Amino acid sequence: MSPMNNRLLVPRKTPGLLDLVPGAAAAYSLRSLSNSYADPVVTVRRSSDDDEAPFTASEVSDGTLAAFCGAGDGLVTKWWDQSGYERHGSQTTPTYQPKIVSSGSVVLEEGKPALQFDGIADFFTAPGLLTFSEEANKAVFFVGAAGNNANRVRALFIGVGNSTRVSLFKENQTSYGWTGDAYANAVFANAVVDSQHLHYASDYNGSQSLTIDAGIASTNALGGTNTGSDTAEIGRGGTGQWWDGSMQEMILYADNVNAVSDLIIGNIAWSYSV
Amino acid sequence: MSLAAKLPWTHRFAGGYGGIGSQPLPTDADAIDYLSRMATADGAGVETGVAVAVDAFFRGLKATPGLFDAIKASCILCGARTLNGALVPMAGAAPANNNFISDDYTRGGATPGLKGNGSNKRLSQANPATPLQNSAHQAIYLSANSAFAAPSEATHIAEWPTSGTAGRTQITTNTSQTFTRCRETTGSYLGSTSVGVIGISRSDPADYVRRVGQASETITETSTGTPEQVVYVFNNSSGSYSDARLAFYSIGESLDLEALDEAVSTLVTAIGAAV
Repeated sequence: MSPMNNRLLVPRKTPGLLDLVPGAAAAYSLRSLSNSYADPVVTVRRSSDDDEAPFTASEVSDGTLAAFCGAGDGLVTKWWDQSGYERHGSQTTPTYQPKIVSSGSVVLEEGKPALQFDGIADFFTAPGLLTFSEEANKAVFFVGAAGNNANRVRALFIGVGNSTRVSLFKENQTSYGWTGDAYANAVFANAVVDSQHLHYASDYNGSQSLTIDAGIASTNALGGTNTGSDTAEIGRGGTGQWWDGSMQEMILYADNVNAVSDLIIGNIAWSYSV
Repeated sequence: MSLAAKLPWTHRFAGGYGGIGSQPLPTDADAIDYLSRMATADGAGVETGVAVAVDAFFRGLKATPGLFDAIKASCILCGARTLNGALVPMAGAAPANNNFISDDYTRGGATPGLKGNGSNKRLSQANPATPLQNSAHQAIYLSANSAFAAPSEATHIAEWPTSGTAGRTQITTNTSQTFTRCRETTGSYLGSTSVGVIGISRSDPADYVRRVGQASETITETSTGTPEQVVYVFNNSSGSYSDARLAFYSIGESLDLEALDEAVSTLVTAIGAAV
């Protein structure tokens, strides 16, 4: 018997996104973004009796979460930050909690688990992101699908009250917007709404850019750094403009990651395409 | 469409990602050349799903002997990210744009294409080959027909002589009729019209084939001459502008209209679903 036959061959595990490009300022997802991440990705309240429990990525998709919720709904009270900074998104008001299980079935977008925001009241507060607007270099990678209506709705908002400092949003039925400074300075990129997209928004030393699905970049030099933000929300714009569709992943870097953006985009695109 | 299929075909990971998955990319050399020129004009490559549809279109054309080579000038007026990209020719020279703006262009969906306004918007397409009297074709993909009712008409593509009527070649419709000429003078009406491919092809001095609504018929009209070398799309050079939406046009020598119809219809449907 050759020595080779005595070896136990263990398949190499595909590196997670944060294994490939570490250093995220915050990372929300329904999949594990690194091979070492073993904590939950969401905490869910079931509608039948308001009991809450945390769930890992595998438990979201293997039937554990659906079994916990039974025939009712599952509402997310906490979207865990996988970056290690514990900048979790949370929502304590039951009627503001996005849905992840609907009538006993895990919500899916293009076949993968997703959070469903109702466009009326659902959002997370994420106070750990307040200082993100103060960064000279910042990037956001976001996977979601907005509803097909003409309303401006916000996926990410960091500002003062309802005055925008940093925001990624759907502007109308034909375009999305991004600003690292103020709404008036936003860049806009066209894309069909009511469809899952991968957004890459960046503000590197005041030069801001938005691409949808790695297409044509919309850029300007009107980004900036900010101070004094007091509102940081996922799924709402300060006092309104609630996101009205699904969210699957939002990863923030307080760094210039343009050199590795292809790697990040490729990992995300393929992770949501199987 | 999956996020991977939405990645530009030029993206580093468009073809796959180690350990996760893979998908086909364009392989036909002419398709890749066309898609590359389009990417330059657009500022980014089209989605892999669109690029693969274009690649299949090129390969489909080449599967019918003589079909691809008979197309001397053509634009696919859908799929590209921008109007500039849509006006990149798949064959021949680029057309000159007269008054079309970005808002006139819809790249996908159920009715993709470039929409005329019936008054002053047209493309001027130089014919790279000397027009032949008895080997000619014109074809369009009509995504949305003209709103003109008889007796008004919209000419979608035309190649006329500088003066006189001999050798005129054109495709014209209104809400109820189709009118065509193919290297002749009189012209022939069909008492109906249809969205989809409308084409004419002459390979015989005595008659030509007209295809409307996926049905072909032979029109017995003798050829009478050759037109000048400029083709107008959305116009006939004497005032009949089109208000329709076109997703494709081609000109050139005689060809198999049924095969062209199948290839173009498949392409437009695939692009419509992809973006």
